[in-house]
Amino acid sequence: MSGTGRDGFRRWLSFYAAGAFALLYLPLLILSAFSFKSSKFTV
Amino acid sequence: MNRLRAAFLAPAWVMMLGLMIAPLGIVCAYSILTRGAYGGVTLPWTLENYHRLLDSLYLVVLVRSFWIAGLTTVLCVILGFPLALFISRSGRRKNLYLSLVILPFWTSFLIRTYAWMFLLRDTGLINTILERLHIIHDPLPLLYNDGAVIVGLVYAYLPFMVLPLYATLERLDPLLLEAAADLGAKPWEAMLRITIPLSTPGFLAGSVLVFIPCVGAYLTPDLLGGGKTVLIGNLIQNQFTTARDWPFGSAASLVLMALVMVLLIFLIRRRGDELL
Repeated sequence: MSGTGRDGFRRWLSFYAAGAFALLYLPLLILSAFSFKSSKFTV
Repeated sequence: MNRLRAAFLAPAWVMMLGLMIAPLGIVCAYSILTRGAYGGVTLPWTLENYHRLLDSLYLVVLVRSFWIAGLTTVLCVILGFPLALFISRSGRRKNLYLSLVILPFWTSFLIRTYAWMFLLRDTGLINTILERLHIIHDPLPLLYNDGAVIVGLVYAYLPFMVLPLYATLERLDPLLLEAAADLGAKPWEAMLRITIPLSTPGFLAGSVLVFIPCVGAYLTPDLLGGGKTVLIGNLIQNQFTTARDWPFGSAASLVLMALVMVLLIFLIRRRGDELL
């Protein structure tokens, strides 16, 4: 595997992992953020 | 010596008998009894409950359950594999990233499902943002459909795929990839011909861990499907609650269990050495 190809793949994996972690945490973070204020968004 | 062994094994046998065999025996017995006039069960013995499951109405529910569970498993593989690969190649931060995968699951399953309802409903966050940005004028129907159920299931069971995949990838010898590179393999070739085939035990274990609970899921389809997406888990739950038809609910549970067991036996016979 060439150095450039390997670095590109690693970078892609990092971005992907960031997206996956965002997917895992976004619902909970948004829910906890909105729990501190009255809001018209309701479940 | 044999008596000592039996004495030490006795608690395990009592647990097995009390927590597995006895409840299963009760469910088996209920499935061949008749529904009582006010719920519960009564004599005579009958196989009518199993006959009713052959009705096209219930077969559709069964097929839909397997289809949604299968699709969820495939999506978990697609989403989970790169994440597991990233974690396995993260050096000293492996444990941190693994903890990050597990951490959201310390909160209640119900809360996490409600979080998705909050995001997906007509007046939820996604539709509101899209409307404020003038991308849409009417809210998108994101909630109460099959898509919402699949999103909820993938979210709920993704760690069950990531963890076995990580365990397999972590054991993968990096020298194999070095050797492939030395022999002229491109990154995608090394991925397709070395990493993915050697990750098969992780794929199989993760698929079993995701597929089985998804087939019997009832809370996610109930909340995110809004009763429109009826899966076999919802059918069984309804029989034991609103319909008060315990014999039919028991028969449906046993048929589901038998089908899953057939699938597992098939998998173990084909790829048992990799799975176990």
